[in-house]
Amino acid sequence: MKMKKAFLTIPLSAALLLPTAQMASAHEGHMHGDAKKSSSSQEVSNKATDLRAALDQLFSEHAYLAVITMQKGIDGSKDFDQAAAALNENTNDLSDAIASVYGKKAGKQFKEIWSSHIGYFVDYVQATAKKDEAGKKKAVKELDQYRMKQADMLDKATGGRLKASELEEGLKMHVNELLKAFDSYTEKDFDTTYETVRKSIHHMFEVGKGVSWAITDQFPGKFDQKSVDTPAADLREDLNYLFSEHLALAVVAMQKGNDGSKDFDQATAALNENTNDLSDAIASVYGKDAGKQFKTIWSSHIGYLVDYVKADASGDEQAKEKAVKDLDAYRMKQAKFLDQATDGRLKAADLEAGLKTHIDELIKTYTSYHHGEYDQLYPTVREAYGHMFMVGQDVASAIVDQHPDMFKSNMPNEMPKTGMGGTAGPLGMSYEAFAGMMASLILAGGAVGAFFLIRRKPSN
Amino acid sequence: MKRWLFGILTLFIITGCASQSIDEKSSSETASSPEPMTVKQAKNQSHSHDTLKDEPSGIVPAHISIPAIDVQAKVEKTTLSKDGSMGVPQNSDHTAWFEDGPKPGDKGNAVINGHVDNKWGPSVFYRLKELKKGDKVIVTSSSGEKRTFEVLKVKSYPREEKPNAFFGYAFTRNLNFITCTGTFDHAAGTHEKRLVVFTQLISS
Repeated sequence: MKMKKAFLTIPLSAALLLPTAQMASAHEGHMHGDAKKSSSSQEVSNKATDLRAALDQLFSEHAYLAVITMQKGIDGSKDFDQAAAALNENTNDLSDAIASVYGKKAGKQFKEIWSSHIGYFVDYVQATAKKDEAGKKKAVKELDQYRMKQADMLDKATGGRLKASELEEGLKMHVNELLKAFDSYTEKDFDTTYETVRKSIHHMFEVGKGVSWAITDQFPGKFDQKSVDTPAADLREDLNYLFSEHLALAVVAMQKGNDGSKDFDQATAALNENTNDLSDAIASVYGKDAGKQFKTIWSSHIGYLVDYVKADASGDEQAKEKAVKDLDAYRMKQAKFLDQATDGRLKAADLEAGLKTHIDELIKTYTSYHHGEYDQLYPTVREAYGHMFMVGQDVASAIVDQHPDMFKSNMPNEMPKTGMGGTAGPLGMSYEAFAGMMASLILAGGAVGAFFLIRRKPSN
Repeated sequence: MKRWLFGILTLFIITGCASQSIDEKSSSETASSPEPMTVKQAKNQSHSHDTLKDEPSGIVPAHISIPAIDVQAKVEKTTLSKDGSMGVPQNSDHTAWFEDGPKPGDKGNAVINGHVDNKWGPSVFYRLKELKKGDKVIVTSSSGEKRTFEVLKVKSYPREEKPNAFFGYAFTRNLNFITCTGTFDHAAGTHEKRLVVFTQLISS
């Protein structure tokens, strides 16, 4: 799990159309022994799958930051402005991505439309705070109009590949999920809140797949004719989802713990659900026992992080030190587990370094929140979130390299043979012409001649 | 008139050429080899939130009807052949749906193929090339559920064309029909071209 900071500093717009050398070499770094021949369905990283991952990161981060910003808004939290700023940064990155494919003008247009829906969400939050039912209704109506505009823009840009009617459905789901996550939060139905938060984040991976599919289908030459729809790409994005959601929920849980919020338990429960899903994913490749072992180890680091937050809040230096030590011991265990499971494809030393970055970043988000350093907080959250996509890629690369047969495409690469030639005329004439000639021959009593003609057929 | 003619032709060919192997190659393609289960299992298990997907409206097709060209046919299920091509119907009067892909009505490219001809004469998709934009295709499941699709375009491709774009993921709810067209290449035992009819869901 070597983190590739270098990649993250590259502007995303460049990364989309010009996959970087770092990414390519990082992938090769995990290849074991002799270079293996693999079909493109078994490529975890290529121009198309990298585009899908980049868009998944931005779209899912949008949903996450939108949920956070809406909560901060209704709670009147001190870090509302910084959360909103992070959401706008995400919009800028998304717009740059669109511009890198469809040009500056389209990027600007996208930004205007996309930003408008964030504005309407803010309107909704403000109306909720003022108990202004008419204001809420107006915001929902504006969100409906937004959907039409956004769908129309993407339909046109993609030459109808993203069909407006289908897009509107998808956008409706996105809007409804965010509103549900928010409404249930204000109604203190926190089980629904976090269940919906998870759905809203996960849904964005479908959006990322759809948009990246349309772009690669529209400009196949720019993506080496590669597909975003392969079993290996699906694995990478499944892992990207689970790892990034882990980070997202861990940040939330630590803040809720710090504040003593009423939704701390539900936020933690969502984090545990994520651990269960992650363990199931490991089990699907390495077996039940491995999944169980992974769960025990992975859960332990969440526990130690909670210990750290508690110790820090109560000023118990000794307990804090113990938590740090426990986290160090965790890193070793986790690294050893993954090194062994992947048969050395993920190196323990790299993994330990990667896990250290992850833990340090998580603790940094907590301390910057605790100390009110909100300007530091959100850039760290975004960086840490992006790192998880590198983790997903690395783990997926190791798994696919180790089990290539599990990731063979089951889609045809040849046309079907849907004809046996029974209507092909023997002398290159059409079936109709041949049948007509046969008919006249038969009718003329020339059966012998016809027989002769047919006899010639197989030898042609 | 035509049917009567086929009868005579069939008779002649059976009596005259039954012992000849006309194109064994293409008839052997009907054998299909299902993919190992592991792929599906691995994928399914890591997808823990299927409920989040857009509402599926796909059905397992059992029967298709294409009134414009008088087609009424059963739909078999098929998977990938050993040579990496899409399997074909066992019975040349039937069509076959690629069951490892989307269901007709779901988002993505569902695919149904059928023979243009068998060894003796026209088959189920002989008149597929006559379809025009706007023609309707009705797919019915074994329980009687219907999905109606409308023809968007009809295009032929060289048989070497990689069919990736006709299968798998798409943002729209497509049902693509494939059959053979063009001159029959006796040496290769197959037609030179493939006809693809692209349709999209209009009602479910």
